[in-house]
Amino acid sequence: MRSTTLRDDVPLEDALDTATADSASVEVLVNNPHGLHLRPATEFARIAQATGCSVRVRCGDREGDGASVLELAMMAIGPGARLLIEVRGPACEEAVRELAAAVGREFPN
Amino acid sequence: MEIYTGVPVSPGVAIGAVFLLATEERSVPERPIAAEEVAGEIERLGDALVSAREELTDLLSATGVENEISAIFSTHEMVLTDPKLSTEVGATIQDRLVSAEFAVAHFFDDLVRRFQSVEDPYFAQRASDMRDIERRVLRALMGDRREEIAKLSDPVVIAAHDLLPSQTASLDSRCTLAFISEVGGPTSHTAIIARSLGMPAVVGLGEIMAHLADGSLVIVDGNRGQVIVDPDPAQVQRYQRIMQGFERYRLELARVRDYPAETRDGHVIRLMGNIEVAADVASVMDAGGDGVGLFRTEFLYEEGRPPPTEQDHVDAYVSALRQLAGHPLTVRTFDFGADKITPDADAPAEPNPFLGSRSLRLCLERPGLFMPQLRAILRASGYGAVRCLFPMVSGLRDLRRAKEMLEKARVSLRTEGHYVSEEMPVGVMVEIPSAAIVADLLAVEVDFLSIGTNDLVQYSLAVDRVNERVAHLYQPAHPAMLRLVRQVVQVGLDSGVSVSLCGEMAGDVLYTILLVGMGLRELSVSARSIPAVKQVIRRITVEQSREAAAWCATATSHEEVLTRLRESLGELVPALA
Repeated sequence: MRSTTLRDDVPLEDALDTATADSASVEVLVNNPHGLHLRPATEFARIAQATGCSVRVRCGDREGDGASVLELAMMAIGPGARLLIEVRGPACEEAVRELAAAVGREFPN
Repeated sequence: MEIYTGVPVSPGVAIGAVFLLATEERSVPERPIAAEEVAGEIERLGDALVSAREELTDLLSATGVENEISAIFSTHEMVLTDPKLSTEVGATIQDRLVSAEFAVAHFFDDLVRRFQSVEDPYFAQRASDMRDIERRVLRALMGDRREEIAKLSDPVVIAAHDLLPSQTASLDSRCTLAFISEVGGPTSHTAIIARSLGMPAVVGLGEIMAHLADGSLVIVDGNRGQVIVDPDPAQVQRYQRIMQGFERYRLELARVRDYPAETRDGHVIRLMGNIEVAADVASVMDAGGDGVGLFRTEFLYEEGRPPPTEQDHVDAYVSALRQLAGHPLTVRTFDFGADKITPDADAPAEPNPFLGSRSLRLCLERPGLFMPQLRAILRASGYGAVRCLFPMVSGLRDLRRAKEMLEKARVSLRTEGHYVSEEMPVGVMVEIPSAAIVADLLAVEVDFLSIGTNDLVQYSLAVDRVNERVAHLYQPAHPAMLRLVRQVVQVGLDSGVSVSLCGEMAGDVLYTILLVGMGLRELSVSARSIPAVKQVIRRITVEQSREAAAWCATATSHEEVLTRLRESLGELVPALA
């Protein structure tokens, strides 16, 4: 499984890479001004739960369940962090795209 | 077996299983549980999470539109449904064998610590969200515990850090045996609730919660202020005997109400009640009182409401008189200020309000306030045995000015055609040391003297009794106090003016033999204290009380007096030993 870095200046389609039919991953740059704090984490977990896939996130040496707002919040993912999102399950490509967009999106505070 | 000592605030003895009631205002103590309780605790946790979530769903639907607030609640809801929460808290319950409350608090403490360790202040601030969620879950857990109490088949001893008013809703005498708490004093919620339910209580025990488990056997000694955890069988037996004695004592008190407050050698003591509102008369009469010795009329004032009119006063006094059926009603004029209700909150603050313009002094400054009350007292005197009592009199000058105003009121009422009793007795409170010293001068111009021990002790010993740092110096049986009281009683005997005593000292059975021995024949106490004081009176002779008083008069300290009085009381009422 290879990973790609998602940059604001690179279209999502090009950055995305899927290794197998039921798993996909993407590395994103967290561009939310306060990082993945409670509310963006809630949003992220909600999307992760809705995908019905298994979602793992890694940030440096920290790792957690993307569907758990508590695990995400405890990872204390700050703005500008590099976040690896790994999704396993049906329609994982669409899921990883949605999740990547969620972290790259500007959250109102 | 472990013995803890605290402050006894409600008498009686109880033996029973303890029930720990955590409070949301503080960190939850680590409460150990048995291995077989794990499943039950995990179930409680699950139920609490569900009800906390339902609460949030209700809040969300109440906000209606999507906004900042609904976004916050929505986040909280997400946290509550996070499987990590229930898994981790469940694991703590199982691994550490602790209560669900403790495991929840432990989980959120840890979470908050992690949030606060992140440098971004935005993260650190999210800690308050976590605390909010924690509170909601704990509330749900404790709420279900309160319901549990009501479901218990055997009553329990309630243990808490401090009982909150909101926690008392479901507590009643059917499910509780006694109360114990870590903090608090005689005026704490725990104390007030226990007394109103007639249950033994010990407060101010310090950190006892951590040494208790649900179901631990405890003995609560509300007479001595002791709590014995895991007592040995000998202690249990000893206390069972004490409890039986106390139960008999309760029954005796219930019977004594219909008998006069008369000593064994036939001396009658007039035992009256203190009231704050007219409706209190019923409890005084129910308790077997001989009238009202002190009507604290400042309670006619209600904060934020217009001051009572003359008619309001008349209505209150006449209503009390009707219930008294011929027994006397002693109306003390407004005793405002210092620690009490004050009629004008805007008045400039005084550096030393207890020595300032309070009570009668304030009334004399403000005829507009005082006159309607004096007129009302006079008008009410046509309906029954009213006595008018002036507080905070320091000497003749105060008394004469007050009496002049009373006379003015009498004259104006008469010209208006009102019937006004000519014989209404007028008295003064002896609560300033100077008044006690010149009691002989005052006695010439009054019909009765009423010794107010609360203020007399405070002013004589220069001790603010609500100041915890000096509260131990507040000593009603200080030799100086006994001399002052004796002197006033002697003035009464010499002049033929009746002398009564009100204040907490009068209601404490410890002092009854001393007060009777010093020659007092009229006491005014709270309705609650009437049966116990009456019972002691009925068990003593005047001769015996004189001996006790004579002994106390030679004592050199408050402690010596108390030791002697405790001995006497123990002999008279073994249940209180």
